[in-house]
Amino acid sequence: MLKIINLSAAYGSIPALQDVSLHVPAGQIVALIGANGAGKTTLMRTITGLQSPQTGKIIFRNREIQHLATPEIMRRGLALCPEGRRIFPNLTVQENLILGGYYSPDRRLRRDLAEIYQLFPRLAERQQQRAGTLSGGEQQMLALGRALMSRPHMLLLDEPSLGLAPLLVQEVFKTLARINRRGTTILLVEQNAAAALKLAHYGYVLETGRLSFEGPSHDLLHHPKVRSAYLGE
Amino acid sequence: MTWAGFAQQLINGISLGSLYALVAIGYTMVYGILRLINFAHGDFLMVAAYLGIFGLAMFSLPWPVAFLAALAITGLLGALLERGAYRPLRRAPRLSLLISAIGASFLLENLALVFLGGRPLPFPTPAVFAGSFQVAGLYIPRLSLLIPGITLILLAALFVLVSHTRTGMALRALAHDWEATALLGINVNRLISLTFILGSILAGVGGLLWAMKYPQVNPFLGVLPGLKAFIAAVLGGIGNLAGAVVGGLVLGILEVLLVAWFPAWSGYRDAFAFVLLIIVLLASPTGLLGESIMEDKL
Ligand SMILES: Nc1ncnc2c1ncn2[C@@H]1O[C@H](COP(=O)(O)OP(=O)(O)O)[C@@H](O)[C@H]1O
Ligand SMILES: [Mg+2]
Repeated sequence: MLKIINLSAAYGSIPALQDVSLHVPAGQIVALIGANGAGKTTLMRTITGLQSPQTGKIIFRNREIQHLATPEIMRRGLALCPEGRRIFPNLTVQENLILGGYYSPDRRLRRDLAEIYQLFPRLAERQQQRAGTLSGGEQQMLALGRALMSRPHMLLLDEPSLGLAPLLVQEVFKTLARINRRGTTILLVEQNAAAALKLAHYGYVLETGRLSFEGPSHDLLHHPKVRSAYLGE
Repeated sequence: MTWAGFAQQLINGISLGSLYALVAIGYTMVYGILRLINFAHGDFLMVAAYLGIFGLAMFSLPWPVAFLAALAITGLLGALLERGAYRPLRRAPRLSLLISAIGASFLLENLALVFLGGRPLPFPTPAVFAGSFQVAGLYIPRLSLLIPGITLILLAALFVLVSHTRTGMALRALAHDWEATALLGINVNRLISLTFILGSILAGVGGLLWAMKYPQVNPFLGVLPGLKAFIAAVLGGIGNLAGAVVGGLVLGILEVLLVAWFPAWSGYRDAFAFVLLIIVLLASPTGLLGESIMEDKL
């Protein structure tokens, strides 16, 4: 589904990603874990065309996308729940969701809205409320729902658990598992390594712009170095 | 001043203020989305006025055809301006964009000067827009009713577009967060083109109405109304659609009343706009309704 080959990116002369290669097979959940400042968000921004890479290739659904503009990349079936959620606070919950399905015909849009409201009943109750008035957890649900409205082949998530209470984190991760079971491939970026690796099939560890470990998430969970560095043991 | 005199001036003020409002909308929409003061915006009044003359006088078109053609071309030129002068600079510093806008303004004015000459051309106002009538001792030019009427209809249409359509939602989203909008796959460039087309068409309507109100068209026709409309936009709170309307009306009405009440000061009527702006900004730095970047609909 997504293949990244020898990708490097920088802010001015300061490198942020160096020679990163990773693979997300169709149907899977892949976790990318790393400490604050490791370059996780930079990777998400580079995949989605918000930043251009210095070198390397990004292949999504068998096409190179690293030279495309963001809207074109996303319209190929990619969606991102960005860091900090980035919902539109002055639009209503419903308007936020509609924008997620901006190019859907009316009938499909209505059906998809109903589906999202079923997945997140809390959003249904707040349809006409301004999104800025939602709680942090509800805003995360909205960001997730908005991303799903385009029926993406693949969903990227940048720290969906950030700032959420543990109970809510569990709820979000359960929802991700459900979304995946329905056929959406997921690349999940997290500092919360334990939760992310428990959910994922495969994991990568990013350290100051370079990948240091990778493997089936079960193996990573039991890897002594990963345990000491990311699982607080 | 008598009651009748006051009413007379109020009508004049509303009519002038409506024109400022029409033009101010374009400044505020572009600012809301690009954070750019489009200094070439006022020149689109001039462009539309000349196009109106060509259609009416040179090609002898019926006025609805001539006006619609003038507006369509003006809208297209607005989109072209963005394509040529602003889009290439999207990742450049704000200041480059501003300089490009000032350059585009000089270019438009001087092209008109070279090709159309500096001598003012008379605007052949169609009969529907000419004439006046008297009510209760008031002398009311037909234009003084048509201008606010047309403005009201156009602003209502814009309101419906911005607050009740998918496109309008996307415009509001874009004004708030460019990247998040692009991440939804929404064609941001098309929305920006649309913003310029809409703003230029409204300025074009303003230009045609202005040319019928003051039927002498020269290459610098748009400079002063453009400047006043810009002041109106800042006065109301730049980025705020309702603010542009309020700012335009307040400026137009006060300007007319100032001249009526203090005829000796009429030479200062253009300076007055700036004085008003400074006073309002000292009291409320984000304008009368506050800077709100198209968030509060209209
Ligand atoms: N806009 C920016 N300008 C300069 N440096 C940046 C910028 N954004 C991030 N960085 C730097 O790039 C590195 C990676 O940041 P980021 O991708 O945000 O990491 P993460 O998401 O893993 O916390 C950090 O050292 C950070 O300071
Ligand atoms: Mg980050």
